[in-house]
Amino acid sequence: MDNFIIFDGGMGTELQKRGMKPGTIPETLNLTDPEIVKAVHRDYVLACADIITANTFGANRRKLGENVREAVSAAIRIAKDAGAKRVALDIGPTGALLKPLGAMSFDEAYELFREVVTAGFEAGADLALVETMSDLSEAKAAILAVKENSPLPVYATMTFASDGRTFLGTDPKTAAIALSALGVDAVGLNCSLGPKEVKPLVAELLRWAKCPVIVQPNAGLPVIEDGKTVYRVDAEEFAELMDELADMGAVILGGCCGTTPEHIRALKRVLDGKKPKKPDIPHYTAFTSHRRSVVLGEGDIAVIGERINPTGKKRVKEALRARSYDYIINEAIDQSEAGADILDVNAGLPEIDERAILTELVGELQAVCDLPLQIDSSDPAAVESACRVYSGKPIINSVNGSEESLNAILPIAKKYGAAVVALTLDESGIPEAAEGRLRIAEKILRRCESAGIPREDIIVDCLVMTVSTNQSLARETLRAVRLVKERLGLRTVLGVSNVSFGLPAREIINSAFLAEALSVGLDLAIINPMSSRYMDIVAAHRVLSCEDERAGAFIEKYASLTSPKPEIAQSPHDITDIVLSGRKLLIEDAVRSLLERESAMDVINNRLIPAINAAGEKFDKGEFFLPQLMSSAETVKLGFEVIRARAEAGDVTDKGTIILATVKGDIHDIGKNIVKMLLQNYGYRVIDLGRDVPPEVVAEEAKKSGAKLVGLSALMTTTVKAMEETVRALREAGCECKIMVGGAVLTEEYAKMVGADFYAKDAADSARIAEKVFG
Amino acid sequence: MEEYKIDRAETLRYLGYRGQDIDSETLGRLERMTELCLKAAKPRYTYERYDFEMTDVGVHLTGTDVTLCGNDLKAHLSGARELYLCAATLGHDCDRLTLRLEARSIADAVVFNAASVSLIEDVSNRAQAEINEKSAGKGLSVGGRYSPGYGDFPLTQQKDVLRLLRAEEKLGITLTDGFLMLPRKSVTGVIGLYEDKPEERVSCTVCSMREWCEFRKGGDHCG
Repeated sequence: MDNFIIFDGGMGTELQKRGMKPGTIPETLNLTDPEIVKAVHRDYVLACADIITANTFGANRRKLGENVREAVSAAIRIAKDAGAKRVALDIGPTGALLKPLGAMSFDEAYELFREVVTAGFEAGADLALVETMSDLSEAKAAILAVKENSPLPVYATMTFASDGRTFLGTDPKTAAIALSALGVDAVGLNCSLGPKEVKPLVAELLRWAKCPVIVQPNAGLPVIEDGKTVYRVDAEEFAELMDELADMGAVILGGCCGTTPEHIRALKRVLDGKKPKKPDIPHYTAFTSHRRSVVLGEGDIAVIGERINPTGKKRVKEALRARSYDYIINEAIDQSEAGADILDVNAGLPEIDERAILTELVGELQAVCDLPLQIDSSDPAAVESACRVYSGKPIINSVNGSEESLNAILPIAKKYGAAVVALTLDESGIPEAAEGRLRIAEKILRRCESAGIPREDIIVDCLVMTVSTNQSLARETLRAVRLVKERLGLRTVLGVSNVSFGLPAREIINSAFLAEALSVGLDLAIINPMSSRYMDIVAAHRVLSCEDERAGAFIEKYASLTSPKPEIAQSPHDITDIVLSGRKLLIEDAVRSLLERESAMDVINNRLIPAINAAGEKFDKGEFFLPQLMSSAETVKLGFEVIRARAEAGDVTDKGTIILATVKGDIHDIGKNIVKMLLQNYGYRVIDLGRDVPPEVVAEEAKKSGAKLVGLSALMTTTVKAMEETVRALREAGCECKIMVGGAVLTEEYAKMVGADFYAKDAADSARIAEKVFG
Repeated sequence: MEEYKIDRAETLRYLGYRGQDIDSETLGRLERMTELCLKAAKPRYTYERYDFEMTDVGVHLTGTDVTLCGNDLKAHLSGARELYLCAATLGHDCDRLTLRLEARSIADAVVFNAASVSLIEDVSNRAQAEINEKSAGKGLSVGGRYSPGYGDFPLTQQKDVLRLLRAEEKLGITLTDGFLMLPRKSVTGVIGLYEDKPEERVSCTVCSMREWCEFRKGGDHCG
């Protein structure tokens, strides 16, 4: 940009000065009192703001109700009437938190924004300002809504607190990388802090943004004086501090809360005659989640965890089929704790709706795991759907050199700003010689560049072949890695474990191959991070390549290395003792040794269930309190897992199916989760529908599964009504199941009132009810 | 500023503890979760003073569009000289961690939840203490916190309280369609300032723990 662009300043406080009552929804004034809105705009026009922000910040259906179109059109018109040179359609947050922490889906948020964008574009807005975002996903929904429904340029700002992160944890570096990848026209920050406090954050934005940086701080930090919030940085001081940000490289400047036309006038004055610094567009290879970025500097390597993949993994298959992701979430956390930098996520099973499940799984994983994800699917529709809801900049695994793949995947990578894994194969298969693979890599590079995907976002997979079928090809793969690095300067990735397929002691081959691949320049290794052999090689390589400066990370990890002493059971077969004392380290061995002598069902019925019964009795008598009961239940659960892992099909039969759900409107579900674990302990198959579940979903699942018992929980007085509706929906659907209800505010009386068959006063009680129902 | 604290006795109370023997494993868990909670939480609070007048339906905040409804609130504020609205939260990372713990260990999750309830109490007490300190010069002292959803003060007015405080922008608190706050560990309230501090009324109706309380669940109470 040749010149600075100056935005206007605060709106809310200016409206209040002109008579708006606190608590009023400002956007309603566009229709009820347009003159005062116009007066504020007029003052900013006179203060020489280049862009006037229309009064549409909260003009979405959720905050404003039915009048969105009218309010937005009026707002744009008012700004134009006030003499604005250019008018920005202002798009603030919806006011609802997105899934999985909140209840709103990405698509619902998108729809709210789409309505605003369509109205704003038709009314003649010149650009869109997506602002004050805390949630990267919500920002993305808004940005996509602008890009897909209008040709307007879009500026995006997030709001960072004094800890340098948004309320949802995004830092400026991650925001700059992820939002510039999405193709916004400017990225930056607004609100929360003053022009002095934002300085280090602006520096980060400038370092990582691939587009101009926009800064709209408050007039200082808020101060509470005589019970009222005020901002104390005056116009002159504001302008001076903003001038420093302009010198650093910020190009688009304005104000937020507490700033006035005076502040903007002063800003205009200090920038008069100055030219913006010439931008240096940074080039880097980076991937992000919503709160963490992995940037690969020259010579850096990264580990991609391979374990979230159903191929050859019974438990992952079961989890995907049941859409119950606890097992997979644990795999993710384990890999993250073991040192993975990125996680590959594959949900490819023939008999499931991969598109829906991959998308859902990506959301669930992002709620609990900070690592960037690699979206792994051969179905372009699944890739697109997962990329769309993904919070951050993902990697797509993969595109290949075939026309079909290039045409399907590259537009998705471009649109969502994802990096891509480029497989060196095409319509004629995998070339044996390294040169053949290089040629395909070159072709993909050319196609990416003409699709607008920067070369640093391309990661070439030279494809690992199995040495047990074609021994000489391992060397060819390594040669291809070297060629791709030398000739094309692209990053490379390999699925290391393939090399040993069909051989015994695969870890030995894999680790040798990993070390060799790293030595020829491999950048990203797809491995099982739970294997310490591989992670040792990675840690050592990072020392030898100088990535781990002064071997700090290595020393921290290995200096105090001692092998843990296993706890030895005194009496290895006394399951009840182990369960009551919650000694998880012992239960697995104890169950294993029992299984040598007893059948799986005998261990369950004669050992595990009596043990959890004993814990339940202690809880009833008041000898245990909740954490102790839960600790016992977890121990039993581990015992069950040993049995399941060993069991052949048919060895273990469940005692019947129970559906659990926290009713619509209620998001507190810890109680339900406690009940779930206990019922599983007793050998029931539990279908957990989660929280905030609509009545019709419960009814439908109950019919489909034929469950004999449905458990509903509600924690808030206000959601007891939803419980009543759910009971009615179940009855009306003709379900013959029994219904039990529980939750903090429920009583026996309430339970009767809502038409339930049983009232469960606590988790132990729910197990007794289940026993009655299933006999 | 003094560091935030998690009161162990309070945490235990929320877990329904009644003097049972606490084994070393449970004790260890209590310590780990307390520490984790202090690390994950980003306590934030805000408050503002409003002029008010009693009306037939409740308490009108002068100069605003908002009337806080209900006779119970009116009773709570009878004799109050000043009125504050306040909001406090532990932030989203506590919710995120709860989800993670629930997938990993329910026992941990249960204890973590109790520790966070104890912490959010400390945070909002901090806000109240600050108001108290600032008002001491006027000879006033704060009474208890009264929140939307208590008695006949409608939960739906959570929306008004949060909007007036601009709690979404300042603290990151949002509402679900059912008027529940997210982050889950958030509280709001109306606070009165009195010349003579009224008797603290301890009862389930005015307890912020009532939705989680293990005693109440068992048809019992703590006080």
